[in-house]
Amino acid sequence: MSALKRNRMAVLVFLAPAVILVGLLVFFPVLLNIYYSLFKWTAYSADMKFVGLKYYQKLFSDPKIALSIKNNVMYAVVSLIFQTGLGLIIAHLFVTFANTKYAAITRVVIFIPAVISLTAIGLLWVIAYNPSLGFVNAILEAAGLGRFAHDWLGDANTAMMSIIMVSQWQYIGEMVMLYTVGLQAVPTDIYEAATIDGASNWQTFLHVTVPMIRSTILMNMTITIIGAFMVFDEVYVMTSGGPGGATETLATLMYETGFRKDNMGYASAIGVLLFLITFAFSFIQMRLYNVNEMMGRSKES
Amino acid sequence: MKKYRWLALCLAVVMCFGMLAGCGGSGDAPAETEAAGETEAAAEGGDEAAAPASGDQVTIKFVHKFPEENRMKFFEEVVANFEAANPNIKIEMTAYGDEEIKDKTRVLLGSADAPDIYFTWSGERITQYVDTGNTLDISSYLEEDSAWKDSFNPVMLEACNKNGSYWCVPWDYSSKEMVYNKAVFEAAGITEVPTTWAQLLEDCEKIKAAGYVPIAMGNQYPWVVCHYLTSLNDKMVPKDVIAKNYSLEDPNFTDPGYAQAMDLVKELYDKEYFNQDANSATWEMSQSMVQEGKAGMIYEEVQNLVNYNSALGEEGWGYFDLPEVEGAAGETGYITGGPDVFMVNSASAHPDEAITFLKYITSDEVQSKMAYELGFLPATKVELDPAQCCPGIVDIIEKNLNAPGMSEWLDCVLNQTVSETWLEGCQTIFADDDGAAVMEKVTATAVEVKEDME
Repeated sequence: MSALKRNRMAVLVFLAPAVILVGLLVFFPVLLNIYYSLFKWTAYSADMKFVGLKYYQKLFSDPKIALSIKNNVMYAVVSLIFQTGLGLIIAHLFVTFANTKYAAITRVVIFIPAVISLTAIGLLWVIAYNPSLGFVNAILEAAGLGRFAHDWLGDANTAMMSIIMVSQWQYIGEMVMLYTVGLQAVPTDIYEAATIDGASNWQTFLHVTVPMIRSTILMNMTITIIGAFMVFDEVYVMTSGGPGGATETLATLMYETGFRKDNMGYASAIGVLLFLITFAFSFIQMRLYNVNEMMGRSKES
Repeated sequence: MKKYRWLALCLAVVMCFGMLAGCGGSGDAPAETEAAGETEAAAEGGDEAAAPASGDQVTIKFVHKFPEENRMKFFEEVVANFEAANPNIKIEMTAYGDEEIKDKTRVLLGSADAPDIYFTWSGERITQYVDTGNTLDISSYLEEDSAWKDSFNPVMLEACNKNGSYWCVPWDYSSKEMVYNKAVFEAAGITEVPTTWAQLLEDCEKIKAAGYVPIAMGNQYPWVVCHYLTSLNDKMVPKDVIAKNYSLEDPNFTDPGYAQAMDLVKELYDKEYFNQDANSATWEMSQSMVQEGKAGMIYEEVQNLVNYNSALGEEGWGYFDLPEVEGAAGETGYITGGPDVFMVNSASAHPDEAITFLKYITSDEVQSKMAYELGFLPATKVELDPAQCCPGIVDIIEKNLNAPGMSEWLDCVLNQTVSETWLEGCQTIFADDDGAAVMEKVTATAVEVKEDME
């Protein structure tokens, strides 16, 4: 530490590239976006008209914002249940039964969708959901559930959930992999101790596994929630926000407002809202993580 | 140790400089600025200061929206012929799809990689680039070459006239016809094409009873229903009302004809005359339905007739005008459609070369090649050989020339924000909304947009 203090200049020089990079690539665009949200302008014109906080007032009265946030929240809740919750259970089963010959292959299979391009996935599911061409309704018919066959993406009531389920299919494998890495880092002697103490599998999972990988769970939750609020590609490829705007999310609404309705100022304001939401979730996660870290340290001491 | 510290320090400094260089503009930026200045001088003075020295090759960036294989091949041939005749001009061509180009052009025009010549549709889609100064006023070029100006179909050229100046040239235009599969009509016992809306509904019922989808509808992108409304608004609403509403002089779309027009389309869906997956079916899927004999009719753009001729044979298909609505308050006989136009970027460093290329693609040679090979309707008065055209094309051109006027695509002629609200309604009418509910939203948006403009 004293050596570092002596070489303060060297410390500053080493830190400078990272600080300047983060400042220019992260903080400066955020500030610039706030500045742009105070003007009326288009992507292809240098003319900018100052409108003050008008677009922020509009955020509160625009029914499309409310619908988009509702869709994003629905996305986040379902993703938390499937990716963070079910993903953990699947990962736990994989690790617990790691010796079985099918575990490795199943882990690969479940991870494959995560490495396929989102556009390809979107187009694939557009066809899969299509009532006359797709396999979703065909499977329902074959299973004797023909009465549930539906125009999944064409009906405003089912379109959003149909898109959300594609995301679960795609990303649950990624979550399982992240959990698996976390679970494999848990020392086996703790499990042995729990077994000697007579803990059941469920008790071991709840009182040993979950606390030991709490930081991984928190991280995955944050990734999932932030991802849910920034979702764009799946919606854009599968419905473009339709039918009738029913699958609009904050990101697609921002894009449509900026590039279709030529209102980049309002799109910037939506961007600020999106930033605040994702920043809030990140902040909460960091606080929780730090508190737990501190609690862990105080217990150790 | 000291040596390593200095090495690390040097590396850190190099990283900082590298990063700053990365964040800065490209080395081309000053040249772009200079080029823009030259363009301005050339456009204003018409002098030859901006003209390249003789023998220098200039590159024209050309963006269009015809990436389909056969259409791209056509353009590649046209560009190759042009470059052979004009060795000092190189055309750098890029094509984007129908939806993609709407965003792409906006982004490109705001970037350092802006095209010299770019595509757009008519109406507000021209105005948006004119009002923001992205388009070169080409009136002087047209005045200087009156033969070129006179070669255009005047209705199409006038679509490029804003505030008394010409800002683009039409390349082709499209209009709409109801295309039908003759085998399906025969199976349903229909011997004559319908001329009234009531007859259309009767025929739809017959086709449905025969086990076919009466009218194919691929409304995933809702401009498809919007095309119906372009035609039906004209039939249902008086022209003077439409003129005031579309220009937002009067933002209140309260004439009952607008809602009735939407309800006519809704009725076709509610009675299952459209396929019931209309909002998730793509336009291409709906075309296939007619070509494969699963559906009886489709409201189709004339430039696609050639596909039905290929799929069904000359005797297998026919077309008719969208039937008239009895007792409606609007006009009849108008062309539903609009020209596809090309604009020259006001920041182009080579406007003269860009105009030379535009003159070539609107020449009789290219316009007739376009009609014969692609089945597009020429934007000029070029005389076509009927034997080389897709059946029906020459008759449709003749009919259009005698039409009282043209109703430009609704989603092009309107302010984009108002248009987007209407387009959403084009999907929600197949669910809970009706015409009146949609028009309330359209009016609310139009009022807000007008207030914003003021």
